[in-house]
Amino acid sequence: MKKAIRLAMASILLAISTVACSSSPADNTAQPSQPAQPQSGEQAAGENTPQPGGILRFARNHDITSFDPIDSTANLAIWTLLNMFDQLVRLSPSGDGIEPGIATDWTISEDGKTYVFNLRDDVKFHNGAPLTAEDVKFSLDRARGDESNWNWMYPAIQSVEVTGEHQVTIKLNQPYQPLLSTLALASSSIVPKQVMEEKGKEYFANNPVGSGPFMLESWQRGQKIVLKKNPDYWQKGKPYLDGVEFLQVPEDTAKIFMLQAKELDISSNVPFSSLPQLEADPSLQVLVAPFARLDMIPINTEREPFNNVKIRQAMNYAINKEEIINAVLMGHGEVATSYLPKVMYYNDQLEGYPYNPEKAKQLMAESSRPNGFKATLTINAGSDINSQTAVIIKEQLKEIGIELEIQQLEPGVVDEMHSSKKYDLITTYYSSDIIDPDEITMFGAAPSGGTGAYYTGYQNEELDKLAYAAQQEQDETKRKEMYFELQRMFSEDAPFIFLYHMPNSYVLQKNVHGFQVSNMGSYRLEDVWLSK
Amino acid sequence: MAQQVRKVIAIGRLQYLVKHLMQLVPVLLGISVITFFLIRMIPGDPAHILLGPRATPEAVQQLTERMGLDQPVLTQYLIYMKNLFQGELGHSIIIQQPVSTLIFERLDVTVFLVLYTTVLSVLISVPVAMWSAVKKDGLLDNGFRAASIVGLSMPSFWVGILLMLFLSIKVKLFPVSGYGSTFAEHLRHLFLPALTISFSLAPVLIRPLRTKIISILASEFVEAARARGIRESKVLLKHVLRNAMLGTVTILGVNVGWLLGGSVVVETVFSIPGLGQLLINSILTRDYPVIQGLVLVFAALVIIVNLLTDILYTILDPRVKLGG
Repeated sequence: MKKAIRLAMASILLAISTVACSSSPADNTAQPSQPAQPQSGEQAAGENTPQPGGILRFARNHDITSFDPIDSTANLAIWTLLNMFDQLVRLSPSGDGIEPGIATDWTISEDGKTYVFNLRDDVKFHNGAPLTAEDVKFSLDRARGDESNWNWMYPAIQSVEVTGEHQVTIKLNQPYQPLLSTLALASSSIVPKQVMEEKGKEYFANNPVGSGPFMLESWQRGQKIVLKKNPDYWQKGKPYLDGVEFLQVPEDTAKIFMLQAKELDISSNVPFSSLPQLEADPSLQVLVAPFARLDMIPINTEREPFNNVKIRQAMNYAINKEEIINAVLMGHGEVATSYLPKVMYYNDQLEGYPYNPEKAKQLMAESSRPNGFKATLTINAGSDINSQTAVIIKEQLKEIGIELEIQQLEPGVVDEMHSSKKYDLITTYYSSDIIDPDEITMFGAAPSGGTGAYYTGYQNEELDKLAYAAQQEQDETKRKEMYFELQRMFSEDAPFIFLYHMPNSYVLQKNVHGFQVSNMGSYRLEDVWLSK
Repeated sequence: MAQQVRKVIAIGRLQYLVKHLMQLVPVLLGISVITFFLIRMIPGDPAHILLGPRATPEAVQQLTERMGLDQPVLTQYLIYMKNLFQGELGHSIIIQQPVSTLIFERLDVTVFLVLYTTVLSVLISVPVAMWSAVKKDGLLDNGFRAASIVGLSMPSFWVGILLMLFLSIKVKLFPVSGYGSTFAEHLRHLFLPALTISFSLAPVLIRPLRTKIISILASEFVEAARARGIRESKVLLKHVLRNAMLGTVTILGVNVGWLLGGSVVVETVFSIPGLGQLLINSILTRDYPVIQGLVLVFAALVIIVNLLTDILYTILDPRVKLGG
């Protein structure tokens, strides 16, 4: 057994190996170290002391569907639940490491198959009951059980045992390096066993009981989620806010007007084109936060002529991603070369497919369709970013003889067509919920993973084997090499048209302090405070 | 004697009401059939949408079964109809709540908005129509006519945004979103939304009202009234307006469906938690039972308001008899 220094080691290692910290020139409004404090030099030193009180009004595009941590896989649900529940470990505020949560420290056995966690003894659920080792076992068993929509994230766990009054031991079938990252997921949230067993899942989904900084006060479906401060939160002195209101405001104009009329404190998903105008407003601040997300166009490799790798590569070379980023994202974003978003072991050496129409034409000439062909690009209706991107792509693919027909459909329908492989080309994205590259590798790249290489029908046995081997590799250097190789292989086979990494945009009132968005898109609202 | 006549009229109205309420049943039945099958024809499957792109086919299958959508459409329809005859609108498949609760919680907001719009439109239309009729072909009359066309042809989301820009952002008079919690707050919050819809409703009211007033002004009883030396303002209010209002009531009644439709758009623009917002959300998530319930409620509202219009007509004009 190695000693608990592993804890510090782990976070340092993760921090070093994460490459996500580099921000593009366009992102100069946000530095990962202190993202939510854009250059408002006027702040006096005395104003940096957090002030308690106030309700934070926070606009987002959608409501969530359930408060049961094992239900929803939607980002907004995850980011909400992380403010209401605790996990054994958690993501650091900037999202580049793992730090203690309910577990104060942990040890990992030499063979990497046994994890022992020591728990805090001062944590209470929102109903006043103490959080016990039994609750931890119950919650993790539930998260990897049949009724969980997240069970695929816990493949290696053999058992979770209560081994002491404040101790839990997780035994694995085989070494599984993403484990700590996975335990920081919202689905790994600790729920009270007694409440869940007595009241049932459906009750809990509407009346959650967690131990996190905020608890549910009321929920008006499709309108707002009202959270209030947990006065017994184990981090003494936090949260600073008395409560949070998550308002559903899908309309861009409404968001912008509400910000200007001071009816909101924070709004997410503000269109990039409106940021300069809002930044000029002396009472508002803009935050463009890097986000582990990849926007891409999956190519249906089961259809002719997309089974031909030269055609897939040609399309990648033919598209000028810089131009799309400048024209559509107003410069906020980075060209993508890998299937991985910017998480741990992101391959920054990868050249990818820089814009090269000559090379694209040459590849087309060598391909199975030298004279070009017609295809359909399916996009989300109502997404300006999607439709503008599609127009540029249509023009650029025309240059190499590919005639695109753009088909606009509702978001839900687009997802369905994607997952049932009823498409040629389709605009979509994914984002990572953990800092470990394993989630996205299994979800988006490994052919035998959950989505069959994101519903492209992509096949590559070698890549598949390497992906599973990388899960188990305990040597960090070797593991990193494996992921670099995985990304190189996938990039070369090009089952996607790799587009860009798009950041998250937030606009805040100037009196909002301490709002920081992690690389995984989550935010810890217990650190947020409002100055008068 | 007069007492008896009034009683007869009242009974007549009651009979009329009952008879027409009975006719509601087949109409609503027809609407329910059409909605039920129509919404299932649009592509998009609720289980898929709810679970998102990460869902495995098994998870989608399980949820589809839990939602009861794996059964043949005809079976689903029979279950729906059975519930309907027991007075139940069913359960939302996305939000674990009864459809009736969801609708009832938001009904007051939309009804408030519709009534507010009606009052506001009448308050705008009557003086404008009166002025235009009295000063027929004058500068203002022509001005109002041009403004009517502009008002009619501007889409309401655009008008809403402009109003917000000028009356909430530039001049901070009204809030840009929400509904408030007291009656005074409702009035303040819904003023811009109601004004937005009035922009397109008022022109519809003004034009016939103006024409009507012009013809009444030329009629013999007005001349007679004037000849008797009654003051012009009294002539206008008592003789002209009362007669002219009849037509307006009809037009308002006819436009209730359109008014409800307008509220759907405006509720979205102003983030008002009413039925319109619920409808948009439900369509996007393919929440079939909620869409069905809402369409039924909207239809019932339109029919009932039309019925009330007819009755109001008899009160405004005692000569009108409600036909058999």
